[in-house]
Amino acid sequence: MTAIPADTLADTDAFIRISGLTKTYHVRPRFLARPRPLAAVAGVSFAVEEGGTFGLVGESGSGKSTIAKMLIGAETQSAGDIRIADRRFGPRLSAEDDAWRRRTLQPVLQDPTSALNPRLRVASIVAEPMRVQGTQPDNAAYERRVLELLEKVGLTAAHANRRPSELSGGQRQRVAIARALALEPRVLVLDEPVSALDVSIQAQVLNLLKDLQAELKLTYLLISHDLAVVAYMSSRIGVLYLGQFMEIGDKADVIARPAHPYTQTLIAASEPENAASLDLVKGEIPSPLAPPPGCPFHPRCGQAVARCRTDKPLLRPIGPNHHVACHLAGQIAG
Amino acid sequence: MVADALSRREPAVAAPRRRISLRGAVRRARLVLALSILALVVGSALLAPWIAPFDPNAMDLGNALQPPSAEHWFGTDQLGRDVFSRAIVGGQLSLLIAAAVVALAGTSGTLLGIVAGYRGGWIDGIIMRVADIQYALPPVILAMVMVGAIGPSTTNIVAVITLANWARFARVIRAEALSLRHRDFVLLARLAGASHLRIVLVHILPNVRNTLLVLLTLDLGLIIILEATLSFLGLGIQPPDPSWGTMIADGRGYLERAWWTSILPGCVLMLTVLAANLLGDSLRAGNGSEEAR
Repeated sequence: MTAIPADTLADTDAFIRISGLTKTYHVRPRFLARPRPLAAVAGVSFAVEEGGTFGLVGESGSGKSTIAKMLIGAETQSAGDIRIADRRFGPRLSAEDDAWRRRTLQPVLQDPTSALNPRLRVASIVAEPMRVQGTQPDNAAYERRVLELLEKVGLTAAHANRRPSELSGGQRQRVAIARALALEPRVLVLDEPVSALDVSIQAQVLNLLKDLQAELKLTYLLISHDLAVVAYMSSRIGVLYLGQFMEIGDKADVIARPAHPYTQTLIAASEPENAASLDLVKGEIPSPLAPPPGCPFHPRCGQAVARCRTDKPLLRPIGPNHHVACHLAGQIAG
Repeated sequence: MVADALSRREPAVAAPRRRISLRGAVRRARLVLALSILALVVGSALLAPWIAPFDPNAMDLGNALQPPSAEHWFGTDQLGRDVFSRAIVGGQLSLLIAAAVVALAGTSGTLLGIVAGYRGGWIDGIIMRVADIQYALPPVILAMVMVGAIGPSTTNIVAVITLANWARFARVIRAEALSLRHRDFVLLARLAGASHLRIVLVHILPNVRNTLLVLLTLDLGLIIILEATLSFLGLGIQPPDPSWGTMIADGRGYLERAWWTSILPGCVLMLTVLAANLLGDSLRAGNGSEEAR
C-alpha cells in the first residue's frame, strides 16, 4: 500500500488529516477455519479543511463506517495515521489526547432509536456527556444548557421531559444532534445521519446540520450511501469502493465531471429517471475476503480492459485537487 | 348501493377492535384475580398469629381426622390439629423462604448475568460454565447432599434453593445485557467517557428491569413448589412446624379416610403458584405492548 498520493490540500488548511489509514480484521470464513485477513479499509488518505464538509460515499461494505469508527475512537487502526489539529491518534493514546478528542469530535449515528436509551428522558440524554465530564457547576446550569441545546436543534423545553418513544424519527435525530453538540465539539462525524429518516424529514435535518455548521463553525465528516445527500452537503467528496478511494476531489469536479466509471454509475443511479433500471452496475460488491486482482471494480465495470484485470490502478491526479484510481480516466467520456 | 356496501363493510372494521378490547378485559381480569389471590395468601400469612383460629401445633387426639366443618374449615389431621390454621401458618414460612430466595437468587443472578453479558470474554465463560453445571444438577439431589451435610434449617433451605435458581436469572439477564451492550447508546456513553459502573446503572439495569420483574414473579411459583418438594421429602421445614409440603406428606397415609389433610393444603399451594404465574404472564404481556409502542 505504498505510493498513495496524499490529498493535495495544503497542510495549513487541513484540520483532519488521514493518511494510509488501514483496518484489517481477522475473520474465520467458516467454523474452525483458519482466520483470514479482511481489509475493511485499505490505505485511505484524505484531509478535511476546517469548517468544511468531507463526504464519504460508497455502498455498504465499502468501509465508510469503519473509517468513522476509527476517527471517533471506537476502533483502532491497523496502520496509518490520524491527525486532528496536529495531534496524532494511534493505538496508544494519552489520557489527555483521548479526553481532547472526546470534546473535539462527536459522532452522530445512523439509527437514533438505538442511539437514545429508551428509559431516559430527553434532558438526561442530552446532558449525559456534560454530566460525565462534569462541565457545569450545578443542576440548574445543566438544565439551562440542555434547553439551549434543544433550542439550537429546533426543539423546545416541552421535549425535554419526553422519552425517545414519544418522539418522531426526525425529533429523535435532533436530540442525537443536540447531545453531540453538548461538549461544544469542533467536528461532527455524521455516519448516515438521515438514512433512517423519511425522505420528507431528511431535508429538514440536513438543513439543520448546514445551519449549525455555519453558526458554530463546525467541520463535518459526512458518511452516506446516498450520493444526493453527500453532494448536497459536501465541499469535497471521496468515493469509496472495497475500502479504497476510487475518486476523490472537490464536489464540483466529482459530481459534474466524474472520471471513474464507478462514480459515473453512482451518479447515473441517483438520477430519478434511472431509478427503475437496476442493471446500471452488474452484480454485487465483491467479498473483501477475496478482493479481485487488479482494479477492485473491474468485475462490475462496463469499460474494463485487459489491463484492469491484472494491474491495480493507483490514485493519480487528473486535475487540481482531483484524483482518480482508474487506468482509463481521461480517455473515457465523463 | 354505496351506503349498503359501507354498512356491510363496517363490522369488519369494528370487529377487530372489539376483540382486542375483549382480550384486554380478559387480561385485566386475570391480573386482578392473580393479585387478589396473592394478596389473600400473603395477607393471611402476615396476619397468621391473629387470624389463625387455632394453635397450629396444638394436638387434640380425640378430635383427629375430623372432616371440614364450621369450626374446622379444612378439617383436622391425624393428631387433631386444625388444618386451616396450619395452612395459614405454613404459608408464612413458605412465603418467607420464597421471598428470601427470590431476593437472593434475583440479586446474585442479575449481578452475575450483567457482569457476564456486559464484560464478556473469559469472565463470561466462567460464569456461564458454572451456570451450566448448576443446570445439570437436579435441585432435589443437590438439596439432599447439602441438607445431609449441614442439616436442615430454614437458612439452609434458602441457601439450597438459591443455589438451584440463580442460574436462570443469570442466563436471561446475560442475554439481555449482551444485546444492550451493542446498542449505540452504550457506545455513545463509552465515547463520552462514562465509567462502566455508570453504563451498567444508567443504561443496562433500567433496560433489563421489566424482564427481571417478569422473571421474578414467574420464579416465585417455581420456588414455592421446590420448597414444598423439599419439605415433602423431609429435607425442608421440620415437624412439628407446618409447611405446605410437610402437610401434604403427612396426610398422604390418610388420603382414603381423610382427603382434606393433604388435598386442601395442596389446593392452597396450587392457587398460590397459579396466581404467581398469572401475574408473571400479565406482566410479560404488558411488557410486550409497551415495546411495540
